[in-house]
Amino acid sequence: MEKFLKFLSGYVILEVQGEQCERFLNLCRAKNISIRKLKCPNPGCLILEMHIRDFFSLRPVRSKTGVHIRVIRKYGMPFFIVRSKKRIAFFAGILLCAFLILFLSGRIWNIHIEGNIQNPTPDILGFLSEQGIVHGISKRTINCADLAASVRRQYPEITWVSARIEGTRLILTIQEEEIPQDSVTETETPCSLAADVEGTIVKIITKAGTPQVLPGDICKKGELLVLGRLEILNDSQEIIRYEYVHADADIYVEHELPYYREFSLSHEEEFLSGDTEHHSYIRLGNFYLDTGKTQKSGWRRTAWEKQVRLTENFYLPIWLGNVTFEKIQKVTSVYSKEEAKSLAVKQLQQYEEKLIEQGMEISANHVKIETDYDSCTARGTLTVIEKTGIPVAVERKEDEET
Amino acid sequence: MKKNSRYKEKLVTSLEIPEDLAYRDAIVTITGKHLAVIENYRGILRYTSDEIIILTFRGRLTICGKHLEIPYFSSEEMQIRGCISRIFLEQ
Repeated sequence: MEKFLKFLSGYVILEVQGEQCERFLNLCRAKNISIRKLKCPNPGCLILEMHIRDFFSLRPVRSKTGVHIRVIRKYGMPFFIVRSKKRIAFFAGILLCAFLILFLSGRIWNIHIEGNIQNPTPDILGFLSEQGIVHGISKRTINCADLAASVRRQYPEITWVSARIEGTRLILTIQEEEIPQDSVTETETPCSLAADVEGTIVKIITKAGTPQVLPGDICKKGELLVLGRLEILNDSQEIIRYEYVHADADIYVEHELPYYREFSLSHEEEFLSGDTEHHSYIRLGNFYLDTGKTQKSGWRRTAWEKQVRLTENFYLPIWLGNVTFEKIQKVTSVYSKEEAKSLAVKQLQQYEEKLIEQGMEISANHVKIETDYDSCTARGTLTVIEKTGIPVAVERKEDEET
Repeated sequence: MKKNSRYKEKLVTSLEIPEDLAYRDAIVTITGKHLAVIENYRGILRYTSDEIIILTFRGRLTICGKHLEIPYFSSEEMQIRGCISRIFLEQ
């Protein structure tokens, strides 16, 4: 800090020569002239540093002592300004830069949204832009309280919003309410459960309702499995009224799924020869500045593109991209019987994995793989156990009174 | 005169006034062999790179050494930097 102040006020390095150098120092001291970095390279010669304003008050001291004062070097802002008088553009640039900093710092350059899970950031940014809150808006025009209120009004699931401006950032902190599952309304609606597949009932665990089938029974598609109506009996085991519930049960049905796959033994294989070509491009809106071809036959093209952004959510309509071409060679070959069988097994395994992902359990596999001279065929059935039961409207009955 | 100085001494002691203020004694603070700070001095009698003679209110203070420089010199205090070998006071 001291050095900076010294630079601002300006200072000179002097060489003082004469017979009364010590008297010169004492007179400087008497006149409150502060001297720094005083050296005596030779007897009768001093080198020292002092401020400009002190330098201009040296005249009486010099005339009294008769010393010879020579300015060796000049440092500081005043000398720099004098030296740079001709460099008007440089100073204009500094002024312009200061003005730009002042102007740009009064605007919002980053809109940061945190705490949102259900409402994606682009959605909220879209709503803000509808409200006139965009990147580059003046900070003065933003009313944080109004903004927070409008966001709350627009998104009912947002329970709390805080909008604040930190520097050139507008920060929206959001708290969202967890949406309760609609199971409450679902469970309140009376319904029965019907089968959505045809098969044999393996297991049935009824949680609510009256089961209509037993394990081992065969059910058809659409058949009622659990009735959402309970019969309330009196002491004489007579129905006095009906109560309707939302039927709930874990029902597992075993059924068969047909499987058929066929592929030719002769096939065309593609592999990369290792030749690659790269080129980059710049996209401005829909206009491409490209350095190479965009399509090449017999080559595989992969590309990545990145949008240029200034801040977290402030994207410019400029994209930088890179395209990679890899040469593809095609070769026709024929599978051997073992290769064809293993490929068919692999395809079957992939199909089984897909079924398991869908929640099915495979209890038996009756698929046969056959290979003839030009094709391989896998055909048969898979026995699967899957959960069934779709809600259907329950049939209402008049209460019987005894 | 002696009486006056005795009264002054008593007054200084009873009022607990620092002696450097009361008698304008020079204060010499030495840090290692390379730095000395001198306060309450009257002026410089001689300055070369090997010797600095400083006039205080109670005599002369001579600092001998090599490559002696004065980084800071004002009416209040002065700083001497260099290879200091001897400091002695003369009445």
